[in-house]
Amino acid sequence: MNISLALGPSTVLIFIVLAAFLIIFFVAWYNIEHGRHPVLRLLPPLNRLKNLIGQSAESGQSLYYSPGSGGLNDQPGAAETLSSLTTLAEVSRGAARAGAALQVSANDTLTYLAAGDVLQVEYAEAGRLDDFSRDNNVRFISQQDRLAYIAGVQSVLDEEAVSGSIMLGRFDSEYLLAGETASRLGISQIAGSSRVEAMPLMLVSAGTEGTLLGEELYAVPAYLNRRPARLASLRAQDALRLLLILAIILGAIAATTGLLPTIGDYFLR
Amino acid sequence: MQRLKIYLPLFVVLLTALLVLVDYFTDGPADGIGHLLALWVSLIAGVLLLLGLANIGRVHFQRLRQGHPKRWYSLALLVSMVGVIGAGVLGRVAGYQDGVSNWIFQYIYQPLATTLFSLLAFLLISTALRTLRIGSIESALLVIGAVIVLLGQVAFAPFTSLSSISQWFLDYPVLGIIRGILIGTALGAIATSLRYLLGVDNNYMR
Repeated sequence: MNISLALGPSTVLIFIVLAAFLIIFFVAWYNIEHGRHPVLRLLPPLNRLKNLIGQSAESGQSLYYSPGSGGLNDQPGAAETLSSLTTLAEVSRGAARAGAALQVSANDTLTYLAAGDVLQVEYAEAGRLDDFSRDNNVRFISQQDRLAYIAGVQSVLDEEAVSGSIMLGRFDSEYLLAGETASRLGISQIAGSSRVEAMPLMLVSAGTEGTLLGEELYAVPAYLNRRPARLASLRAQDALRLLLILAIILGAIAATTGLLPTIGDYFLR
Repeated sequence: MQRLKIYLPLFVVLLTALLVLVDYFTDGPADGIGHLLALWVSLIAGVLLLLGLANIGRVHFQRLRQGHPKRWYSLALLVSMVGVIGAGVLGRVAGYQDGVSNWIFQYIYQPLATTLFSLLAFLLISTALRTLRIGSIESALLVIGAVIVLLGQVAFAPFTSLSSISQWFLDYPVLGIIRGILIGTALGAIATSLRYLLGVDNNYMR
């Protein structure tokens, strides 16, 4: 049996990034377990999130959650959907404890089932399993069709008694259709996506206090539940970002001064 | 039993992650395993689609039965669902292959989707106006930037002179910001994926 390393230029770079991430992640995890907690900057939309859960519990109206139009089945946006499902777990825990009703909709069968499982676990742990029904709380709207999905989201916001809307995950410019419906109905919003097509639209629709931009979407689970492993992954992200910035600066200097004129091609590959 | 319920899926997740990584980084017996696993997921997702259909059918059938004010929309959805599935099956049986489904997609679904998407143009104008009304420096900059870039695309004088400014905006500040966002989101995606692969985030297993 012959096994050899398949190390092309891009594979080496990915291997280095993965290895560096894992090393920093485990070191940070060890440090956090031993009391060295990182200081997190403020994310204003998370304050709004707590208010939305409270308002929903007080008013008796539902809180709406969308994990985005991405899927989990080898499609683009799987990481965003995974992150959004982790956030959903924290939101549903808060909602179940506060006695707020939660409505979730999905644009993919796997996301639909995973969201149902997440809600079931959290409602069971809060001792409120009687208030959970997969048919009523989780809705499958469409299968990987972002326009049909957003039309369904519009319909839910329009017809159901919704006090707040949280839309975190993969959205493109079609987000505006749902965002504007929420604005028109006066529904308080929190929106987040890592797609540049959606970000400006979210900013004008949900406002700066309600929008999570880019990587903030992936940081939310660590903010809502400061488990050491999640904080460690934030640390590893920041450390890698610093390393990449350093590599870009050094690469630019090396290319400009002629020390390594082809370094740019290596990164572009 | 409870422990097995947690650790067995975790073991499967870790084993799968290991196999995919070995497939990606080595040449040898693990070649193609990642592709094979992705095919399995597609197969499972195909079967799960039936569950999704059952959910849609139940929700809208209940709305019909309960006399919901917008029950006619539910009726339209159910009729369309049965119609499209029936047309696809009958088309195959009658030897048209996917001709019938493709016709429905091309001449009914596609125009509807395009119509819905075109609404964005009007919504954009209303949001731009609202953004101007917010009155902050950031919102003003956002709208000024958008107007310059939009006018830069117009081929008539005197807007042609704006095209170089518009292109400069797109090539330097916008591209730089987009690349910064992409690097940040890529790192976030790596972190999230590794947390799941290492079994640290396992909300769905408890």
